[in-house]
Amino acid sequence: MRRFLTALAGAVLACSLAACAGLPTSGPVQAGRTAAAPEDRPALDFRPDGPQRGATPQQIVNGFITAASSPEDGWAIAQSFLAPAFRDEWTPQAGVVVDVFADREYTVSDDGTFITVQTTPVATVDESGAYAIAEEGSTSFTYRLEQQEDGQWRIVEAPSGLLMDEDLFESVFRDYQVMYFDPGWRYLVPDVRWFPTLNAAGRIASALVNGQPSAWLADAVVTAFPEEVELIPAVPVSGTGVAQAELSEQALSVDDLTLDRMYTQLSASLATAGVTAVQLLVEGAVLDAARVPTASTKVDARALVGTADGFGFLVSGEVSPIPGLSPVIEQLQPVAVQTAPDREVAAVRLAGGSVARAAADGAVAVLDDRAGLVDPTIDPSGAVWSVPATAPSEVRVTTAGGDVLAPADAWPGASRIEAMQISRDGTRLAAVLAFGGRWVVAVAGVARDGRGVPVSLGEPQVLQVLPGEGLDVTWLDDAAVGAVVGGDDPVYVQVTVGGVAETYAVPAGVRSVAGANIAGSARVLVADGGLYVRRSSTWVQTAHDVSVLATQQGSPD
Amino acid sequence: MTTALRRRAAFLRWLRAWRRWPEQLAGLWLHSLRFRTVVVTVLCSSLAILVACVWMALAIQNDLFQSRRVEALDDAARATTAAQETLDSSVQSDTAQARSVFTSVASALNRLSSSDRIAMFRVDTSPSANAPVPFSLGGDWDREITDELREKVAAATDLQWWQSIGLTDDRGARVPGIVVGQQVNVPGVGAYELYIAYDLAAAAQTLGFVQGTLWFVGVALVLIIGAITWIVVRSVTAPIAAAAQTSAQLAAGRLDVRVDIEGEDELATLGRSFNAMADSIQAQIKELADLSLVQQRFVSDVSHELRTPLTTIRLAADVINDHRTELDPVAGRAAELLHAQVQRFEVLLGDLLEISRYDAGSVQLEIEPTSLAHLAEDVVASMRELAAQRGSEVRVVAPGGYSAVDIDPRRVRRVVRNLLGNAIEHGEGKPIVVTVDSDQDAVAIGVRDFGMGMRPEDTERVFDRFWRADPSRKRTIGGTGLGLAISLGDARLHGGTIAVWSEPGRGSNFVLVLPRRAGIDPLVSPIPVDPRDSAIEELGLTQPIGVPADAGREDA
Repeated sequence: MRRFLTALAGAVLACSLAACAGLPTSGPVQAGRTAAAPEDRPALDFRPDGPQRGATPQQIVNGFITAASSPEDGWAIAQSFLAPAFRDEWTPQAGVVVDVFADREYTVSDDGTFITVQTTPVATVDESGAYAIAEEGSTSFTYRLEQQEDGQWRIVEAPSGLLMDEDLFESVFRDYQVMYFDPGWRYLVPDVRWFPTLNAAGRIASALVNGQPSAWLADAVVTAFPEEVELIPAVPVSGTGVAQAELSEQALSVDDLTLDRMYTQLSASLATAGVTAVQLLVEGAVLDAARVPTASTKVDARALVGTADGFGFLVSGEVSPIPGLSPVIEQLQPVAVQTAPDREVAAVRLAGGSVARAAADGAVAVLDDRAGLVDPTIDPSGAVWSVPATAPSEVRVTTAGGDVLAPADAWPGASRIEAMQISRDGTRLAAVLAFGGRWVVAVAGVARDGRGVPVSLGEPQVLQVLPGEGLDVTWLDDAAVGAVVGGDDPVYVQVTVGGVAETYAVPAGVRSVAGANIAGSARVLVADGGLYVRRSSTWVQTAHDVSVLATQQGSPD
Repeated sequence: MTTALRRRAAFLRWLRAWRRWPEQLAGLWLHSLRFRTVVVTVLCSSLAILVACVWMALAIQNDLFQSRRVEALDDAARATTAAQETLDSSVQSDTAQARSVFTSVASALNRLSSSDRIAMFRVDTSPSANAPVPFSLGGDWDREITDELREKVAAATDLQWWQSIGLTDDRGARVPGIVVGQQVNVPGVGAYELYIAYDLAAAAQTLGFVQGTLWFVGVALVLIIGAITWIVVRSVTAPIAAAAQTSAQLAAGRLDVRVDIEGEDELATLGRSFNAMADSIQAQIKELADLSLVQQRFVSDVSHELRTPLTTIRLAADVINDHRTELDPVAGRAAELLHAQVQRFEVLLGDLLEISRYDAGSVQLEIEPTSLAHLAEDVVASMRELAAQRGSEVRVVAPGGYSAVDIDPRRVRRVVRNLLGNAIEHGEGKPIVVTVDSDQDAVAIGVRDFGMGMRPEDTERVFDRFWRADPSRKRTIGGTGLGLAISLGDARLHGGTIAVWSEPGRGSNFVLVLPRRAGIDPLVSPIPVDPRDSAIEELGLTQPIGVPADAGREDA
């Protein structure tokens, strides 16, 4: 009887197991993945055609220019359009001229051996990968061809560097960030460079270790890599994203702090190329290094506004004030506010037009009462920068201790300045300026002395020409700047410092803009008090009756 | 050494003698029904499971591939349609826009299809200033696209073509993939081939997992089946082995062993029948043994009973014989006859009694260390007169046999006397040679006569009781017909035997072989039974130099 019962139990178990073998048709509710951020442009590998048999000289030149889209094997496909003797002379890495494809015009000489391409360049990228927008006007490139023994035309003379149209450029080249330190060794300052996606890690590392910061930034940043330390240009990256950077043996003689700073710069730079971990090697031996702590430039993602209810962070209609600082600000009723990272001090422009520093302890000091001042900006050390709109070169810096300085070489050649903001790490100053009749967004490096006191501004780099009078500028993150242009067709321009710009429409009556933590998010305030936040390419109103939109320069630790 | 160490040493020895494993296996196969059954079952079930698992793996592989292929084709069709719509709806006002639309199509395809390997190539490869540049997304995989696929896709405008290719994953390993190609039309520029590759790494992994599971389950099944067969067969072969052992014991002579019976099945029936057979055999043998015993006792009793009147008769006959001269010649002759026959009767009775003792098994040997050579000489000396009467000369040749051997001298003497008597009887006056020899295992006495001999087939019957080769021949020496039977019995009592050789006209050779000690097997005679002395015979060397009887008389 017992055996029968055990056999029966076994049969029941087997049947129930067989029933479980199917896939479920119902079950509990469970969470999946978080929504994916919109992806960057996909990394395309172009496969341009090589030279065809019987191609005319113009077709050869056209194919050669198109073949610049494939950087594999040192631009091998482009090299195949050249005569063998010229291949060693042509230097594709000398730089890139980015032009507008539609504006190209080909001119063929009578005997067919000279082809001239006339085009309107949009930007140039130099050897080190630094991007700069080109001056107005057109340039021409001349190519000389010769017929080879087999009757095929090949190029024997060509300008060094590449010529690419805008779309192709943004697909073949990508912007990466080479990281430097601010003079106080607290912040990482990105220097945007453009490299082909092929072997980007090696180019970034080489630019960081063997190269120099961009010219306009050179005086504002410092690097931990000594002159004598060199990098072996090949930086292999494993499938899991671990890169190995081989340094020369001088790297053994640096002290630990410098080594850690070098490691921090290199791993932050390579992170923009998708590298998850870096190993520093000297002759095969791994060096032990760790990242040094760097200050964060993150701000609170909520809108910091002044409304009838007070001054503070606005979340779904409720204003939560900043303890200490809010009452002071509310009392002052300023026109513009910018809070320092510790939120104890703010630079304000009062209704009368003067610039003052408001502290959480109630101390309000008027720092600048010249006429026509633009909205002030406050840097991480607590110094307040102010400048009158009609005299861009007269920038006044009032330090936290009360010293008044006037940095030299401020905005030479500019006729007007409409807005100015210093970056959150204190190394770069962005501004909306007028040069002659043109309004531009420009950025200049801030050179400081040994004590961190700003002494001069560097050469201003024009980031983008604005279609009209610019009204406000803000830093969107460490490497991008946003500016708004008013008038009949208000636009919002988002431009990467050392990169490309994008223009979007913005609601009418826009008067100020404030950035947050990523380049894609920004808020604008319009004349009637509406506050709009950017969602991809549209603007969504989130609040009414906002009197002032404040910008933040950081968050307390 | 402890048991465990000993076992380990034995195991290691067995391991080292791996060359002997085939013959050990073969031995196991022949001798063990259980082993054979288990091996056959395991092999057959392995084959069946192998076939089943292979078929299952193939079916699953096929289905996985088919379903993934259908998925890939559907996905590619959707993505291609979306891409074509994007291309069609974009405004192709200038060629620069055509090129920028391309990159947006590339990102759209990347998002729409579940694959991130996409490539587009121009169908028409003549140089064109405006055509967007062909591209590949997701690495160098487009180098795997074969020319045949490109030809087919370039030729067909609205048909999908697909092919299996190899793709490399992040770690560089080669994974199976499917590439689907279709034409799209870029308005204002021309036709492009769009290829989307789907990697089947997940399906391959599933397949690998399934195959691994099948292997594991298959091997486990085979082992379990082997174990189950072992257990089941054990329950069958154990009773059979017990029955086999019991039969062996029965055959060896233990008539009282029986098989244990459990249950009512076929094995129990077999056991029951076996037990019945054993009972029957035991009863019959017991009956026969009893009968034989009764018979022997009868013979013994009869012989004894006959002795008593016989003694009286003999005494009386002796008395009459002593007084035969006082009787008339007829009565005197009758008295002599009576005396002789009564004597003969007595001897016959004595021999019968002796034989009956052999049959009853109640014979005792009285062992004494004796020198056979001396024994032979004594016997020959005692019978020399008789031999001389018949004209046969008896010669003793004793190369060995001088050392003492444990035998019953009385019996051996009787045997030798018997053999010698037979030789003298049948010798026809020719010489008789008595040979004594020994080796380390046995001693032998051979009695060779050169008389009439007998046919070889008669040599086997010669030891039968009361057997005569030539029934017409009269017994002259007075044998009873039982002499050789008694001699053979005596020889067998010692563990030995009497070997015979004979040839008509050439004589006979009887060799008594006795082992020195018990347990010598096989017993080899130191003296060859077949004399092979033809040459000597022809030369006549063993013939005595005959001095003619009348030689001396002539002189005289």
